[in-house]
Formats: sequence, C-alpha cells, structure tokens
Amino acid sequence: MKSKSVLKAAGALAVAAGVVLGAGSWVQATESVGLQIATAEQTAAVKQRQELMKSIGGNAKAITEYLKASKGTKEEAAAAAAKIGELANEIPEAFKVEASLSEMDAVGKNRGKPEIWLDWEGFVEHAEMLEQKAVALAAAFETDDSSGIQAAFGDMGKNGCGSCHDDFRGPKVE
Amino acid sequence: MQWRSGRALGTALILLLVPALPLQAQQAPGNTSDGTGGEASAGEPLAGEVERGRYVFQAAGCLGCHTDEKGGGAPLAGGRALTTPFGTFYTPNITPDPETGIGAWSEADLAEALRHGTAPDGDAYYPAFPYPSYTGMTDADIGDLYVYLMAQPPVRSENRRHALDFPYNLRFALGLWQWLYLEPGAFEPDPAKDAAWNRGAYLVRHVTHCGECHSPRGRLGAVDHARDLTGSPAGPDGDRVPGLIEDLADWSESDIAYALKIGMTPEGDFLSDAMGEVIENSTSHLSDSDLSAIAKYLKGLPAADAP
Repeated sequence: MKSKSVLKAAGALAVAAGVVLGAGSWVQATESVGLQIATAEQTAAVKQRQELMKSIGGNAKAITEYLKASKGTKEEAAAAAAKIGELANEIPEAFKVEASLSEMDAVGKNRGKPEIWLDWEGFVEHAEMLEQKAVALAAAFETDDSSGIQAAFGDMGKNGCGSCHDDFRGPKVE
Repeated sequence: MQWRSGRALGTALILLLVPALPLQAQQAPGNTSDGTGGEASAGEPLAGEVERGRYVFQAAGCLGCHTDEKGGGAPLAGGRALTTPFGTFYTPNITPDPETGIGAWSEADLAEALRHGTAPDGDAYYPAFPYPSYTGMTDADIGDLYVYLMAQPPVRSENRRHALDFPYNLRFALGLWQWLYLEPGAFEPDPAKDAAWNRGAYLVRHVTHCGECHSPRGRLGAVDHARDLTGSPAGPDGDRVPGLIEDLADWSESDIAYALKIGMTPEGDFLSDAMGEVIENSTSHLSDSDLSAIAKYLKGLPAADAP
C-alpha cells in the first residue's frame, strides 16, 4: 500500500511538472510569436508613416531638382518647401502607435528605432525643427538670394531631416 | 576563395611567429613628380600654405576621426573610439603639442606616416589610419597639410592605448601586414584620361579615401582592391555601406556632386550618419570643380566583375 501511494505521488508530481513545463514553453512560444506578428493597427500605422516620409522625400526631391537642374518653377519649389512644413506637423500623430524595428522587422521594412518611443519628447522636438526649417526655406524662396536658398535647403536637410534620422532611423532594410 | 583563405591563414601564422622585418630598405623614398594632382584645388588658387593646407585637411577628412566629438574632446586631440572587428582603436592626438601630439614632427615625419604608415620612432601604424590610401598623396599636398596642422592650437592629451583582440594586438606583426598589403607609391595620372578624371581619381583613391569604407575588406583588414568601391557588408560601426558603382547607377554626375555638397540625394533623402559626417567635415568644403571631378571619376568606373 505504502509503495503504491509513493508511486501515485511521484506520478502526480511528474504530471504536474509536465503541465508546468508545457505551459511554460507554450507561454514562451506565444510571447516570441507575439513579438514578430504586428497587430493590424501597427501594420497600418507603419504603412501610413512610411507614406508620410515618402511624401516629405518627394517634396525634397522636387526642391533638389529645381535647385540642381532648374526643373520646375521657383514657385513650385517654394510650395514644396511649405508642404514639407505642413507634413512635418503630421509626424507626431503618425508615430503615435508604437511599432519599432526591433519588434517589427517582419513588417514593411520598418526603420523606426525604439528610441522614438523611449525619447518621445526629443522625437517631437525634431519634427518641430523640421517644420521651422521648412518654413525658413519657403521664406528664402521669396528672395532672389540663391546662395541663401541653397543654405536654407542644406540647413533643413541637415537639422530637419538628417539629425532626426541619425537618432531615430535604423539602417536601410534590403 | 580557397586561395584567399589559405593566404589569410598563412598570413596569420606568419604574424604570430615572425618578428617584424626591416622594411624601409625596400621602400622608395616618396619623391613624386606629380601631374594633375599637384594643385590643392584645380583652377582655384588659394592664398597661402595654411589655406591650401586647410583644403587638403578637409579633403582628407582628418577632423572626424581625430576628434572625440561625442566625448567633448578638443579638435584633433584624438581619443575617438573606432569599433572594428579587430577591436577598438582610439585615434591619436594630431595637434602640435610637442609631447602628446605631433608638435615635434618634421614634414618628412608626416610624409612617412601618410605614405608608409610609420611613426617617427619606427613603429608601424594600424591600417585603421587610412595610409594605404594616403600613400599616393603629392609632396605639395603633404607640405601644405603639414603647415596647416602645425598652425592649429596645441592640446595636451595623452594617447589612449587601443583595445584590440589577440592576435591583432601584436603590434610587431604590422610590419608584415604592410609588407603584404601596402602598395606605396605616388598617384600616376592616366595620360589617356583628361585632367578632371585624373583629379577625381587622385582625390577618390588617395585623399578623400572613399574606398576605406565603401570597399570590402579581407580577413586581415586590407581593402580588397579587386572589389574596390563595391560596398562593404560591415563598415564603420558595423553598418552596411553601399557601393559607389552599381548602387549609383541611376545617379548622374551632378547628382553625386550635389549629394557631396549638401547631402541631399536625388531621391530626396538626406545623407546622415557616417556619410553625413563625411559631408559636413569634408566634401561640403570641396570646390565645385573637385566635386565634379570626383563624380566624373566615379561614373567612369566599370561595373565590377561578378564575385
């Protein structure tokens, strides 16, 4: 009798351990899957912010082509600068949903670093800086000072785009 | 591939077993009679050696590596950490402080460092210092650079020892590395090409040293010249570095010159990170004719052979 109850106890222990271990690995499995599969909300947010950045880049491209190869008119280039200012305003809203490259690398070539959400205030300050620099560039287009226009464009590129990308954008995803 | 890795393995063994060989005997002194590369800035004469030297200094991009900007270090006082697969290098002080910098150096000492990677005391430098590129610099450029460096404020700051992994920490083995990989010699203009192409070739290969980051390196850190400027899977800080041939196939010469001038790519992206630093410290200061020359040279490069 005694030995039978010992066996039973051991069996119960073994089953319990199995359940615990199994549950543990099940939890682990869902957690690791959870890190890689984006929610529909995250996927939509990543897509939207990529469109926003592309739109800013498209306007910067138009300005580049005007300044470099005199493609388009000065008025169009000035309008593109003003548009970048407006789009810069949309940056904080577009990045509200947290989805960084560290957890989202399976989704849409996401290059947003976790630092965006770790240093949200700093990120928003950069967006505001872009807006200011774009407004300054649009104002420079009102003048005939071509070196001043070039300088304002370089300033926007460096302090509006580049400084934010340095801190908050990860390497290109191939 | 097998030959390559065999050679690398053999080299590693040699590096471990053999002390440095006397190298100086086989290296010709750097007397160069240069062609197109001699002027600091083609077509734009600059007043005085210091100003010409500043131009060479900016073109050669000395400031970025020799300044610990993140740590608040003084310009050119060194101490910037360069993280590589071989360990961490700490750049030296190149201010004219006579004890901790290069204040006691002669112009010949500077030429020897740039051309042969050799310090005044005879020690060899690690090729994290891009002397395999600088080796082709002209006497005139080195002379002007010397005058400029010596005109900078001296800063007393002791050099920090590199933190390298074994066996790369065996400094005596560097002599062998140089014997294997360093190809000293002045830039030789190609008479079949025009002055702008030759100026671009001189700048890209030797002064602006683009290939140090934009070319792949072999196991022992030497640039793989068969694949020059085809990009690197792991450049500074481990990031992938794009190539300058096929990756720029859709760029015009003016696209390249404009990107080097203000940083804006033809796609409307602004070059940041490591290249942003290069543009800020170096290429944005170059004359339009030099930027066009660089662009012309890069666009004239043949597409690389398939690896």
